[in-house]
Amino acid sequence: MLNHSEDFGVCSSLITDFVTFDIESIVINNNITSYLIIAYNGTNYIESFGLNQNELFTNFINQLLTFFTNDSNIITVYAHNLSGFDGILLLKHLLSYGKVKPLLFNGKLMSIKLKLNVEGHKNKTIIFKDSYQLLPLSLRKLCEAFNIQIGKGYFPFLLNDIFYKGVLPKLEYWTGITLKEYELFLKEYANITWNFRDESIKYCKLDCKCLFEILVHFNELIFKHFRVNIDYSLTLPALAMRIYKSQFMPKNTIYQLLGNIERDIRESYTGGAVDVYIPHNRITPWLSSNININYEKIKCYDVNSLYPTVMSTKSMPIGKPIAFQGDIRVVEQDAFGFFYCEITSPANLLHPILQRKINTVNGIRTIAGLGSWSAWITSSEMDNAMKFGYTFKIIKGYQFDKGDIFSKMVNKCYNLRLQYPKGHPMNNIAKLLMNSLYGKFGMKEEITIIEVLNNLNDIDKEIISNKLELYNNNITDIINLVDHILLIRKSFSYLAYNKKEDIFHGTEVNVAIASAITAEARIHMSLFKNNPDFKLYYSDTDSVVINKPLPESMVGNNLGQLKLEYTIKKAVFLAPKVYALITNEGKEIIKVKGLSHKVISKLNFLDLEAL
Amino acid sequence: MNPEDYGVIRNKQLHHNYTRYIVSDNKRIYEIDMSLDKLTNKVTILGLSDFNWTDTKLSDDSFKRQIGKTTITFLDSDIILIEKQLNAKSFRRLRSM
Repeated sequence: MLNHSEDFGVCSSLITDFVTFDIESIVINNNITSYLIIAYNGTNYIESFGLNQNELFTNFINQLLTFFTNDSNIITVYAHNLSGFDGILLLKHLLSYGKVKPLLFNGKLMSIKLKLNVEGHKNKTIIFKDSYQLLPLSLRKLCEAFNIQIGKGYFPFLLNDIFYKGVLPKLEYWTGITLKEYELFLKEYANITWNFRDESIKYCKLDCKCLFEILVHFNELIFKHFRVNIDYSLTLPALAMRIYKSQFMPKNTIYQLLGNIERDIRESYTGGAVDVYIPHNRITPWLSSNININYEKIKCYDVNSLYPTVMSTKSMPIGKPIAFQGDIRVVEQDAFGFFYCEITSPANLLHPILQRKINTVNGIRTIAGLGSWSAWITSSEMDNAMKFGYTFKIIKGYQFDKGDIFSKMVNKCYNLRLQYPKGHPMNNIAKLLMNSLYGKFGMKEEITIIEVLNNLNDIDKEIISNKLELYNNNITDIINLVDHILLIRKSFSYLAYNKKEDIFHGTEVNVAIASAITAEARIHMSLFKNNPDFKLYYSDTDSVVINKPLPESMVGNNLGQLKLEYTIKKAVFLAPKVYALITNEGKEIIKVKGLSHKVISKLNFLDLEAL
Repeated sequence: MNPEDYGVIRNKQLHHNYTRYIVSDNKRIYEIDMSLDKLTNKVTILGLSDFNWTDTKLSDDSFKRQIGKTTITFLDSDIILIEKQLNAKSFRRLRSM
């Protein structure tokens, strides 16, 4: 019996004292050069302007120190997209102020912690964080979503002369602005001199204020519904996990899986099945001289919140695992967990439902094919595949108990989505929280460590040389910063041994749960495969394209039901995530994995059909 | 599951809910506590006080043996399954801050 009544860990008060900042840069001789930094603490702004990089950043950091109050020794400073240029530009200028600890994850700079060692501020801390990791939308979209009245401004980013004064810069220097909006500016500046310095400061201040208002609003909403402050989490998945652990996680149900068991179960952890089954919906033969070309009407359905659906309705692997050798199902017919099996598919199956990982020269690829192979698989996915004619010989595995560990959190978030109208930020936040949680369980034990090393004299160089030799294959990057070197290397997360309990413990990861969720999602989607009721053209993780309408009972707004996205007039599916559609309404939808929106916007249906 | 499988029965005592057999072979002396329904044997090698196991009958041709955290299942005297309870640390619940 799970204990849901454990007292909840909550924050007693809302934290509101943080700072937002933004750096504006231009490109000079192919180099990114910063010229303006603004920060805002909800009351006051600080600003630093100029092309001398040392003076610009030193002036900014010195002013930032004035934001310390008598009550606090820590300032949290948010930039939207710190992991992009802002953090990198800032990093080297912080080194002379104290001990700098950058945090990298998946190649992205997540935060920079600066422990100050300057007179008057010794041992105080400034933490720079990336608000984009918490709210992964552009600032403009966030302003709309959070209904921030001040609104984000426009600026001619392609203008490179920071000392420019004169008439309003031509339209070609502006980005993302409509002609109508530009014309309004023209009117506004008809008799006023446009000054680069003043306008950039005005624009940047507005950005900082917008971000501040958004974060205040976001924090209030999260605190109101979950009694958690955003300040403790660097990313949205981390925030979702914090909420889960403080309010919804039953006691002693989820255990850390580390070492061999983690590596074995990770083999079963694959994503959604994305496959093309029928490449187009044209009925008229391609070589036909018939002028009237006919297409089969097809429909694209999306499952509402697929992962949250399976999280809240399916049993998850809980408790301490039991490792076994042999066919456990001979002894326990309902054994639940992860099995290493010899797998044989049926000789013929229109839509193979089991994926396997294949090593290729381009890395590991996941395919769903027929034949025989050996692999790790969840017991649920094995049981489901048996219905389609697959056979299994269980060799070894890990057995778990079954339990419901997510329904309370998913239902809470789902109810919030019903409570707040579409377009309200809480509706979107609830959706993001529901979808962000599962991946946190599947995080790898591997972490990235950044060492900031002095590079001033021969002794420093000797230390650097020794480190390079020591870490050798684990070093992923070395960055030279004037008097310092940043050594970036892979490492396994902290692992400790508890002698009393005879266990190793470290990062709180449990890949079994993440793998079970994605497996249950694939099982859910297998309902649409090999189904004689309709022809399946294409499937993605949580969507299908079929030739008939689904029964009414399957369509709706509830979790797990499907939503009709489009009725499609013409379609061409070239490969997974490479397709072009023309909807009944004449809207053209093109998706090409790996290509930017800008490139895709230049393609049309005929381009893909011709391929 | 039959005490005689271990050797010669030297002693037999009836207790409240089990029967205790003392059995010996050429090398060891076994203390076997058999449940009254004859489905469970708790076997201890005397002299090695910490070495014991429990056999549980599953069917006429199968039983499982539990030794510490390991369970071995036999079918027709062949090992068909070895299970070991793994130790792990639970996720930490977050409390008031």
